[in-house]
Amino acid sequence: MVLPVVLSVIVDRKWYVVLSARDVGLAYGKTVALAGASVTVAEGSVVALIGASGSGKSSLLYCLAGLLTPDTGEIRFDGVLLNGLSEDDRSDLRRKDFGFVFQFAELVPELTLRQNIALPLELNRWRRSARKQRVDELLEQLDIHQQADRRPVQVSGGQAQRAAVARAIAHRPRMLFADEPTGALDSVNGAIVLESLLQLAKVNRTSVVLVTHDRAIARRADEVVEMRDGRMVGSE
Amino acid sequence: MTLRLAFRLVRGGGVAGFLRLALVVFGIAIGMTAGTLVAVMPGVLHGRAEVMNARMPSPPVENGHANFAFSTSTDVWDGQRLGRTFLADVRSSTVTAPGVTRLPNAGEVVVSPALAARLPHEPDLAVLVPGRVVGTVQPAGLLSPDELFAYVGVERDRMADAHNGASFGSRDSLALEKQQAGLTQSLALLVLPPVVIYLVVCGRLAAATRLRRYAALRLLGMRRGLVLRTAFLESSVAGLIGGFIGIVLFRLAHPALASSGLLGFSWYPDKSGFTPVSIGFLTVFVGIASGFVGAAGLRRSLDRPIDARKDTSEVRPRPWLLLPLVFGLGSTTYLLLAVRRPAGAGVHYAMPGTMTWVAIGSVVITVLGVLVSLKPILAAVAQMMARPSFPLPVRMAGARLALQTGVTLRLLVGLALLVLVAGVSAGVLRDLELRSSPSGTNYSVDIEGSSAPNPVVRQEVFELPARFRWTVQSSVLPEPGAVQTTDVVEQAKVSGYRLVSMSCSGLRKLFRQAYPDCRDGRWYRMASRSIANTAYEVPAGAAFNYDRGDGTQQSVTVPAERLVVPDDSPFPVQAYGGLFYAHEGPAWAWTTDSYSSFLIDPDPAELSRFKVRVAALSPATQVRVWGEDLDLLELARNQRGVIGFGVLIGFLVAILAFGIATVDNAVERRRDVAVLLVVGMRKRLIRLTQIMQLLAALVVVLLVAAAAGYLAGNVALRLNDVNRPWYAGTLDAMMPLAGASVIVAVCAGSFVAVRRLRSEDLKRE
Repeated sequence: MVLPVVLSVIVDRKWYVVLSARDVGLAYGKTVALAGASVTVAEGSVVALIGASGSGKSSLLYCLAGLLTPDTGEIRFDGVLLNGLSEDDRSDLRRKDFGFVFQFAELVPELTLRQNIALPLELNRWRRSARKQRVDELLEQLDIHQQADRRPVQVSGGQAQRAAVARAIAHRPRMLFADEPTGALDSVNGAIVLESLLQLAKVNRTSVVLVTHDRAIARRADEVVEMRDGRMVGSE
Repeated sequence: MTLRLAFRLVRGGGVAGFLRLALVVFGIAIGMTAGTLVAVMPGVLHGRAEVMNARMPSPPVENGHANFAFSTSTDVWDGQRLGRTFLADVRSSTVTAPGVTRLPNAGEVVVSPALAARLPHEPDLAVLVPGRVVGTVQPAGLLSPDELFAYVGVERDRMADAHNGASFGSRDSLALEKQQAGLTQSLALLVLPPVVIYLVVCGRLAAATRLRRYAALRLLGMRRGLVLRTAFLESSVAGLIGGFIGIVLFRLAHPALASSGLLGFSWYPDKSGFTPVSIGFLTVFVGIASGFVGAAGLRRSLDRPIDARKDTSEVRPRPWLLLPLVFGLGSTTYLLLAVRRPAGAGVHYAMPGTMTWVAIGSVVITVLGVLVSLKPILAAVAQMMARPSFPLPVRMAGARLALQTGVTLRLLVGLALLVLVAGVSAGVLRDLELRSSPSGTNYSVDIEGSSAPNPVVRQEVFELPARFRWTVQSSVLPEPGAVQTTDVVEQAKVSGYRLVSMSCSGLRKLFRQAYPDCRDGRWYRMASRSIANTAYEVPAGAAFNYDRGDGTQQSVTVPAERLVVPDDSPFPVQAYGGLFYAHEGPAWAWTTDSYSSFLIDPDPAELSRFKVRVAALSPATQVRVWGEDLDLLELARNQRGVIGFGVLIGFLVAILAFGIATVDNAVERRRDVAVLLVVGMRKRLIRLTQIMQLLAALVVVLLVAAAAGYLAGNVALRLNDVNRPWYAGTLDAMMPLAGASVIVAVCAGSFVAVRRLRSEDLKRE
């Protein structure tokens, strides 16, 4: 009973902490968003950040992703201190190792779904044939191949969000950050998007940090971190 | 209620809302300043024309007595108009000209302040205005502060060809105003379209945000009319403030602008007839117009508020929109390549009447064609750029351009119009220049016998240094009412059979021919090559009478011996031929019906020196330069100034609109840019994409407009002479505009709205 669990942990490297935050503090003017938040993300695991609106979960997510620079504390990815990286280095990190899914799809409006999904691959200089193969594969897996050549405004919210998931995972990032990925969808579409996201992350051995206030969604995570007033108040 | 809501919406827009308001106010202020300049122009020109008329001497009424004798002269000095009114025998101290307290007596001058300032330092100019300065002309008698104008008092016997005058003030139509009427149109054409586009651009800044905001209000249940009124008020308040600031800016800039001469002429700002009523009217008009512009774009928000909250794609432009441009360019090219001077026509051959209308129609169609075809052309270019084989920034730029063809075009249409107008104007100006200035290898100058006061002065004038000189006298004309005839001799008598006097050595040098039979002191008949030995030449043996200058006439029989001169000779012997007397000076005496001709080196300074030498001998003597049309020259100068200034202002306004709208677009795309940054795109690449999008659109628009402007400009140039060579100055005029536009596009495109990612860039409201 214990051995298979240990083995799976060793094979999945779930013991390896790929991302960590320690005592992270962030304020917007006089409003304190994070007050000494700490969290660790093991490789291949799914961590859900839950809490009420304004609890600081999105702020923590953006700090973990290197989008915002915390005022205090430190964030390390693969042992490298994110706070110390230049803007260009952080861009490179996001391009190669990170993927993002937002509450609204946030696709580039002038590009088709296919082009949106191919965008990170192009930025990472994938060859055209490999790019095409990968995009076709994702379009098929997410069941949006029929909408591939439409622009975001021409497809439904669920289809756009699936394309956003494909774009986030296309370049096989090591980390996937998802900010309320199903928040703007109905329950059916929400379930499809969540399932696709977790499935693809698992296949690609991608760690996931997921912001949600839906406990049902949070239960799908390996670890749930609850936040209140910019602090961790519990973990399960 | 609506006003309060409008204010609350502006306040609720935060920094971006206030920034938008500031841009709108600023934009309207600049537009208002430029527009006001156009609005005052008719008043300015009318004021100038009134002064021109008021200072024109008028003859005495029938049986009335003359108060003075006068003659007027208009010249060009140092590229500027020099007006002189010579006065003699001033008998009444009560008669004065406008702006003058006392008319000058002989040996005195009353001059404009600008002339007074130059006279002490420019001795040559002082020769043209001889006499002691006894007063200055006040603004009431001047067109502008920098005008060179003088009333010159002379002795009656030094003023030939004088007229009697009773007072000043002509009731003629305002000729100057008519002549300069085109200036206002030119300025309006150049400045107003960019100003209107600019105001529309400014009035619709942050359009997407506004649309969503008003759509939200409509969704909340607010009535259509109330939303419309709120939007109207929001924009009209900005318009009123901007309009007021614009008027203040204009009032501050007007004096400097009026005296700068930037428009090719200057004026007195207080003579522009711009009253507080017109100021108030303009401000209110701009306020109301801004309100309408602000409310006009809200139709979609009001009728389909849900759709308004989504981005929609543009309608793909129709390819047939290219047809007018193809037709316009085709017809202008045909006119330029196919219309040639027919054999036997004069050296300068104007386009025939029908062809002129075809040419004007072609130019109009070309201009319209450019405007309607830019959208399909731009869309095609965008699609081409978006092909998979191109690098990512080019494809993204193409995709963005394809999505925003209409929006991008709205920003650039002002520039396209300016480039087109600059091209056509360059052709028109070149035409005016060629028509108003002498052409050829020498200046050809005539001095009429009636213009010099006496034979002694005429002899002195004749001896002035020149490359060549000769005299021309006409045969005595028959009494009016002579019977029309087909006989060439009779026709020559009616028209006047010309007698040319010149030494044989002068003749040989002039035409670089031997003329071995020419002997000084002998008579010849003379004919141009094309009429010699034809039925058009007066035959030998015919006799003509000439005035000897002593009250008697001399009959001269046309001799058999002939001298042939080239067809383009400066001698008036192209019709019927003429007599040639090989002698330096007149055949008998300096008569009033004869004139002296001179050829002078083709150097403007040499021509000025010649005029000064003539003036030194006789200040009131008129010097006529062939091919020099002073009115046309003045008009060309004014048009050049107006067009140059108009293009500059129009360009500044258009480029400002382009820059502001580009930055506004970048601000509105802030969220898209944030997403690109999130997926790891570097700012360099985003900048490159933005710049490529703008440059691609700009290059396409400028190329199409420049090509059309080049062809249309050359058509305009050839209206008055189809044989004129291709003129590249039309392109030269566009180059600075194109260069500056590219610089602005690169600068504006480099603006990335997201300097550093912030939490609000990643979240939606």
